[in-house]
Amino acid sequence: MKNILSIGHNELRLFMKSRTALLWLFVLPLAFVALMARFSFGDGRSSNRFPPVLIENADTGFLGNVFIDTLSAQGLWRIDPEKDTKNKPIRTIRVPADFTTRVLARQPSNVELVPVPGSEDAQGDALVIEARLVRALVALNSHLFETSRQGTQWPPDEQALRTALARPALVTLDSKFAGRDPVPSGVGFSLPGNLVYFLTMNLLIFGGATVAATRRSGVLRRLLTLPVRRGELIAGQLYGLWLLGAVQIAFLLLIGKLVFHLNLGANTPGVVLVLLVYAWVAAAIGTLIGSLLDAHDRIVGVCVLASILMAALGGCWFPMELVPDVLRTAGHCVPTAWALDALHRLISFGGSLGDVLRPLSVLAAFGAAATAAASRWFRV
Amino acid sequence: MISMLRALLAKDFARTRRNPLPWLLFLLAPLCVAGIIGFAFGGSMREQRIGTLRFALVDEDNTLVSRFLRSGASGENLGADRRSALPLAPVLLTREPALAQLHDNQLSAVVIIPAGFSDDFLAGKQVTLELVKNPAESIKPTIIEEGLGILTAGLDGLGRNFAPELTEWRQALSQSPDLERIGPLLTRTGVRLRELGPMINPPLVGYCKPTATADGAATGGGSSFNLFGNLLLGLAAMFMLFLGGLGLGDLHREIELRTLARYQTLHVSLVPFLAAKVVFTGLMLLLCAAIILGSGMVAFDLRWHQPLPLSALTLGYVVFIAGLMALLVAWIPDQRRADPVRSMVSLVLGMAGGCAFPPEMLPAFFRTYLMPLLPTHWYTATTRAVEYGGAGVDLWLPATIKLTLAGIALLALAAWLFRRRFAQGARA
Repeated sequence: MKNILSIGHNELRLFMKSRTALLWLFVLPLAFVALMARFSFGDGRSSNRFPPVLIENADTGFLGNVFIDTLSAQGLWRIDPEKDTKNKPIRTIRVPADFTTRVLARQPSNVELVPVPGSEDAQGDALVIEARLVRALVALNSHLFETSRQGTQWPPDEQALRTALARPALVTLDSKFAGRDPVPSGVGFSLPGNLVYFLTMNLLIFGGATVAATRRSGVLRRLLTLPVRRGELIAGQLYGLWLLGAVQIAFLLLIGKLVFHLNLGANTPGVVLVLLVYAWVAAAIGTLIGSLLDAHDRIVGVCVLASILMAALGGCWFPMELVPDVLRTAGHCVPTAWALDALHRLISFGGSLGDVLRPLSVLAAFGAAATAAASRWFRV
Repeated sequence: MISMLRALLAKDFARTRRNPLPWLLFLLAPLCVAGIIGFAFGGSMREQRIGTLRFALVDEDNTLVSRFLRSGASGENLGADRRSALPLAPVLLTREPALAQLHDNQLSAVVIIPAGFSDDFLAGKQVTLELVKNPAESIKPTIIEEGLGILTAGLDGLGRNFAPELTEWRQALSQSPDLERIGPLLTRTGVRLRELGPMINPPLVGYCKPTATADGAATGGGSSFNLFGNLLLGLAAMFMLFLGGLGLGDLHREIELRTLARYQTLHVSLVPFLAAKVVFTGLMLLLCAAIILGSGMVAFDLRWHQPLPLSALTLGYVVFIAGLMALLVAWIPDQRRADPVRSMVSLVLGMAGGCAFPPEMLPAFFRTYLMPLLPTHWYTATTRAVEYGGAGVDLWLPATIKLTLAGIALLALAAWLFRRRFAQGARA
């Protein structure tokens, strides 16, 4: 046991001496977490967000303004591009010049929904804007019927329409999330996926490269001349890598908490446990690759490709809710998907340790299998 | 000189043929990622599909109105032309099993029609639909909520405009069906609907979107946006950096194995040797770019509409990569130190240049002041603008020249660094 601890601690010390390794371990993951936090859709509150739109109202009558107020009432956020340079609208709603004239003459009139150039990637917000526009149009048409029905002479006047608009809605929607409220968003949403991705990449690459390099340089053979058994050598390598993962986990969770005010809910110990088990899995796979391959460039290539595939299939990069069932099932052939399942249950749903027993067991099985394979093919 | 260059190139190509795995792995990476994302978003990526919206309907009201709402949500009683374009997959459950399935991440949301909903609605009282969303998902629950928002707006309009009729309907439905009462009620409702007909069909106020052709014209006539192509251009740009590192990183091996030292002892100029590595890397990169972009055409049915600007830009980008990687080798001759730096430079340049993420998602300061300085951004932004924005020669030619000049400047700097190192007696 003492030998295992010594080898592991020495491995960690060597990793920590490398300045570039520190960048990979700490700086890059942090930059990714901060960057990908911007991709999380919504702000974690129970209602959908209010996306910004630009409104070009060419209407000379009152109805254009009533329509804009209806849009605001239905959850669209109108921005002034001259005053607000920070928020970029992704859609423009154009109200035609003859809007009031046509509608009051009972002739159909259309507003235009136009994409802002360069907003092709913001499909989520575009969908929300279109839905809110439809809601506003349903409401405006309804108010027009309402004012005409209440004995008011057609065409209705602005006052009558505004009175109808101000009346509370008869049917409302109470929207909330299951589990925690507010749910994780921003860094809280991006951290689990990125942490799992960087654990995978770093432990695979560092693990594979280190095992191969120590073998190439003859360090492993020399170690065996000392009173160290082969099993202790393998366990020591694994332990060193696992410690490296633990340091990365501790750093990112701590920075998340102190700098980004990350709220993991009441299950921080559960989250840490899942991540530590996952670090074991990744360390074992890294050791296995280092045992099977010799050339440095091959190891780096295989590890980069493997970590990219595991991250993409497991849902570290994009939400698995979007993918077909086949891909979701395929994703569960790699350990990243199970780790993210467990983290979502703990962080998003506010579940307890009992809720993640199944994904934890699967992760442990992955870890045991990879450790057994690494031991079987470990070469000195 | 030329014959030596040819011999050195032949040697490098022969070595690559003997050990193609590292090149193949970095070639596979962008294709695999693009393939997974392409498959995830619906195969061809011509349309961005959302996938099936799986949600539970909990009908605690269980009346004629709630059953009508239920069938509306599932689309079972609607004609094919009136069904939602989104693939809805509602399941009818009671509250507890529905919430259990939601917690098990099997559903995107649970829609609850509370007990007394119909009674209150028909009586003109305020009613509320409940929606419980899956917190581990962000897109599908949003779509369901927005759909329900439209439904509630419609029901609100119905309640406001048909309040007297609805009250009568409630009374008629609460007692045993009485045809004498229901008949005149049906007639009055029909008359009312006929009156509103000209205002409903088509609605007085509607909306329209520009057609694809008009949109294309508005943006300058580029081909229609294709997320898969957009993604592949960025991923190709990023992984070409890694591939470039693989090509010129070979110089480390030559230094380590003392090939350069032996050349120097023979008083042979190092220029052909270094030039051969640069040419080899450039040719390999062009081949790899052709494979990555060509595979997109074969595997995912992509079409590159502007082959000439795309080729010119790629050529300029290849010169830039060769220069950058040569500079990194000259700067850090030790392979163990250089490898992580090279990978990090490639990753950071790729990410910061908008190769992997939509540039709009990057911070505004970064986007405004830093991104325009990055050659990776020059390449990805220009190729995307050329393919999907209809950008002309006034955009792609300056970008190509900038990339080429940057590459030449970096190559010159690398050559100077090499010369200085060797002059100082560093191990060649």
